[in-house]
Amino acid sequence: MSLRESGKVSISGVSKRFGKVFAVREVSLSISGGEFFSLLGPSGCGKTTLLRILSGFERPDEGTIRVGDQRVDGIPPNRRPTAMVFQRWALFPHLTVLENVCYGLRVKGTPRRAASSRASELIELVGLTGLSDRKPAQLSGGQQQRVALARALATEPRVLLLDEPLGSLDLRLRDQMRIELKRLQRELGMTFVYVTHDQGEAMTMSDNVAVMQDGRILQVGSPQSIYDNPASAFVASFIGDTNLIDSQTAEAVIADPELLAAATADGSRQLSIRYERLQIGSGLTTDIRFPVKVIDVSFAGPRVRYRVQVEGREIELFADVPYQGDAHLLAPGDKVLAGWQRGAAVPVVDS
Amino acid sequence: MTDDRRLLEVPRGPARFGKKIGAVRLPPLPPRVTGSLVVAPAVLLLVFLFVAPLAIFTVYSFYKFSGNVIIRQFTLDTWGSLWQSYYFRISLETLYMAGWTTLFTLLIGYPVAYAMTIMKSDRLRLALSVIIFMPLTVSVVVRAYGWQVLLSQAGPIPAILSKIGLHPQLLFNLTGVVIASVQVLLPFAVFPIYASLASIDGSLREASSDLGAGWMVTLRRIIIPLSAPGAAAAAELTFTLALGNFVIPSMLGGGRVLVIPLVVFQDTGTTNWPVAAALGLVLTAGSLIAVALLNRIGR
Repeated sequence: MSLRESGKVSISGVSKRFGKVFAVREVSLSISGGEFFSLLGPSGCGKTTLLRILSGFERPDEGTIRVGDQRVDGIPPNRRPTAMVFQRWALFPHLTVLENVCYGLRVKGTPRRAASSRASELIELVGLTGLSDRKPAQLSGGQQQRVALARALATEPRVLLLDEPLGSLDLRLRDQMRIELKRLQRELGMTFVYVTHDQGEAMTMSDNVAVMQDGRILQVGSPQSIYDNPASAFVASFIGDTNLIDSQTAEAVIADPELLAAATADGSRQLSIRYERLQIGSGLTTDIRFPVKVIDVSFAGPRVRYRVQVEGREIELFADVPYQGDAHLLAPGDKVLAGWQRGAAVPVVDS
Repeated sequence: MTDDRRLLEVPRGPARFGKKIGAVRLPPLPPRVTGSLVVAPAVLLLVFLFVAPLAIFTVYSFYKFSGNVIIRQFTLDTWGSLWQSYYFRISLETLYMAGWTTLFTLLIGYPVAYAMTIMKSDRLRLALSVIIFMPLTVSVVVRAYGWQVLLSQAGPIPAILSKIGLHPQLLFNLTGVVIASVQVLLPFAVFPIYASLASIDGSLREASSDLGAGWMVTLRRIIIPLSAPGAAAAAELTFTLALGNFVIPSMLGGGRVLVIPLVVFQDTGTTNWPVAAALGLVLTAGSLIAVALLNRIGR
């Protein structure tokens, strides 16, 4: 059976309650083999519980889970074809790096020598050559992270589960690990299910993302499709930065009756317009445009973020303008036009 | 420095600390001084109740007892007399008693502590710790009488054992002393072990299981090694308490279990203080050696 087949994960109708509170509510998902899949959502949205259900640490109250063509709900974690990289890595403090990585192999009865040589390969793969005899306490956070990864990979799981593994690393290291994780996943062709609350991580690494809130999945899709067509106001504001314009404001600024109707009809009561798609300038010729006053300018290098106020209203919008060395920036107090091309704004439902 | 600033601020803030008028506030003491004040009572107690008596014991152990009087002259005779087979036997018996007691207390205490860490219900855990703790509220003398009843030939335990064809002698020998000592010392083993087990990150157990280990492998390769310091602390406590145990051997040994504390008591009664002092020092040395060895294992 190919990795594409054996690494497939099918979750169907899974619910989990803690007391009276639903942590996961009727979740169904299909993850292809070899895919980098992220569960994204704010804390308490149920993403970690869902991952723990996949690993076997929590039993679902309802629903079924399959890995490949094998049904795994009801199988204890030690006999599942999954391996987990824990949030705080959970390395065994009394064992060396090599012993940590060997652990899974030794438990499964691999002879010491074979286990050691396999573990050494993995230690090399994650870039820790020469640190085999250290104890976890003698390693930096980033190194411990790599040990955790090697340890989980050693058992040759069909699916690797990662629970916010970069959460406790500093920013620079996190960016570096993102690239390495993605590279590793592509090289191994292994299914990665990655839990994070960081939309940047989810966007940059994933083939597909599921956005979760209150135990439910709001939207599943590629980062680009979710970014361009968010299913709700929550998804729109959680993934990337967006201006949400309510129907009253829309009526005030949109002269186009067709777009206005689309924006305000059948529950779609808000318009989402990404910061970088809201244009501003004095000679604007976009389909929709209206006068605004610049309130605030923040220069971030590659882009300039303007905070503007719609003339005669209390409504504030943000616009990101790419900076290409044009020295002339707008200044607070400048009166200009803001607007967008038809299709740049997407109607979204409240949530 | 912050201290200086506080000194300047204090007079301006009325009624903020202490009295309003007339009270001169002293500057706060430097932490080193307050630190030594806090430990002073403990240090004084230790000096007066441990170090000083130990010194006196040491002096007495170099006197000798002869013709029913203590001869207050430096001599090695008392220490020399401890090499007699009689004292050798009681030292060995004491070690034996404390050793078996420690072993069984750990063998029973560890699973209890482990059960307490894995049980999900907080109420059950509380109930269990109360059950383990409660016997401490009953005097050891009372419990020793209880064991006399339970273990005597006419008592319930031999009665039950005889049903399955066993007729062991449980009272007035080492067996009875060890059984009762284990019961008395169990709480001193359970709580240190529980503390170290409870401090093991729960995700380690999950990680082990995730990597394919069943609970027995996890226990053997992760939990037991990581709780070794707690088990060593429990062993130290149990062993030293068992070494110094007087009530249980005297009430359940029936004169047949002769351990150092009993002999010290006898010799004190007959005013043979040099031998009593020397044996007391042997006991202390035994405890210290055990603690040192166990500390090494615990690490």
